[in-house]
Amino acid sequence: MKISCKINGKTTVFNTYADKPLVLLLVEDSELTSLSPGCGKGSCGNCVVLLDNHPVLACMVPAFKIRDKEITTYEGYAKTRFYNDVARGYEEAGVKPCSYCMASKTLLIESVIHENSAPEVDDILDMLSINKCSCIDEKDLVKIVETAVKYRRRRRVRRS
Amino acid sequence: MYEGVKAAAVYNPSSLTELTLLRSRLPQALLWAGGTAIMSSIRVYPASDGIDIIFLGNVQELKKISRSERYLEIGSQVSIEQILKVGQHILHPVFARACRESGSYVIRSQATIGGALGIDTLSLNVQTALSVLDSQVEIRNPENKKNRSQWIPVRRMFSRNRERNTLQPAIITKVRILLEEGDFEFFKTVGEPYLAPEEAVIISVFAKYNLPAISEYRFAISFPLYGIFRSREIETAVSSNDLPLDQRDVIRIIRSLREDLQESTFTISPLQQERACRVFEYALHHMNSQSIK
Repeated sequence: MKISCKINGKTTVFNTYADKPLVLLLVEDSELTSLSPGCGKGSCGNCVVLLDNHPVLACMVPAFKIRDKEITTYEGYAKTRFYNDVARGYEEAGVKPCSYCMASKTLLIESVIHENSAPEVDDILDMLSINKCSCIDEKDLVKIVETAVKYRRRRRVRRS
Repeated sequence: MYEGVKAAAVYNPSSLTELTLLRSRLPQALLWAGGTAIMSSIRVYPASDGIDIIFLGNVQELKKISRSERYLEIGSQVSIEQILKVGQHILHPVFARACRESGSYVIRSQATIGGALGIDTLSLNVQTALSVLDSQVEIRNPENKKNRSQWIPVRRMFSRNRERNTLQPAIITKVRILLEEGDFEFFKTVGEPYLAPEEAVIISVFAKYNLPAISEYRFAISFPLYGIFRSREIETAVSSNDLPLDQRDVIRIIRSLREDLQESTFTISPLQQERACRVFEYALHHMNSQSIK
């Protein structure tokens, strides 16, 4: 089955099985290295990517569902200006996720601030709870997101 | 690794008519709703069976939510997150809590209510809550020549003998939830129903009272691997009492629950039995304390 989609802005065509999980497509059939797939069944939350700007677990998305969709991985996101807001959050909180979950946590943080301009603590923890890596405690995670939200808000004000 | 793997054919119906026609032609095909359960446990890629897949996500008729004075009707392809967003002011607390505890935002956005009801290997939050609310599902059976839809109570989908396959090859199209107000609603999950279903227990309770009399008491206890336990006798035993319940009545009710669980067809573990009895007891005390506030 031929499936065409955009990965980090670049049109890509896969000749693959319809039910092959996206995580395997990204790891085996493209040259992306940011994903660290662990369980392959939605338990560890370490394969987050953005599908049309919504966070999904790449192990839970079959190939047929990515047809004509836009996929953003950590590599692509880290090149955007929005990444700076999250990076400042890490800087000000004085903590950074471990290399194993960096990609997933960063994309989840982006999703929180993208979908809610004033997220509450429950919203933040709910979104981030999908990633089971415990390298950062909840308090720091909230601080990172709140800082990122602050910088994103400033960016929006400047733009408007 | 991929030797001998047969490619799955995916069908994308865009209307209910198209879906029904397709289903009558492919009764054995895998119905793909959100896909969270399929991708995580039931079907492991690469599969060598090359089964056909019917993807339900593009059928617009299955994505609608409507509300009348008496009930809320939810299309089977509405995501759990969407239900929480749209219906946050009208949902029963027991159902809202069951939805919220189904998983994190990422999972809830992908999982659908129809998919949750269609899982035939586990009984999880949504089924338990809908069962206690006496909700109904609309199913369409393509084998029925007139293709008429039929409403069946959710509790009938999860009988004690796990006769859930009787629905095959029917398609779940809608879920109807009565908007009756409860005076006491309780939902509790003990353990990890998805990761350790052999030890987990899910309990839902719905009750109405006109103090001091309990006018209605319904409960459902789910043992994820075995099904949903309901007992009319125990429900009647609770509702024949006045509030607040006397400690002796509570002990008597718990004893009969324990006996019923031992006599039931479920082969639950002692841990599950203990968990079920204790949380059920906690719910009774909780109702007591709420009634005297």
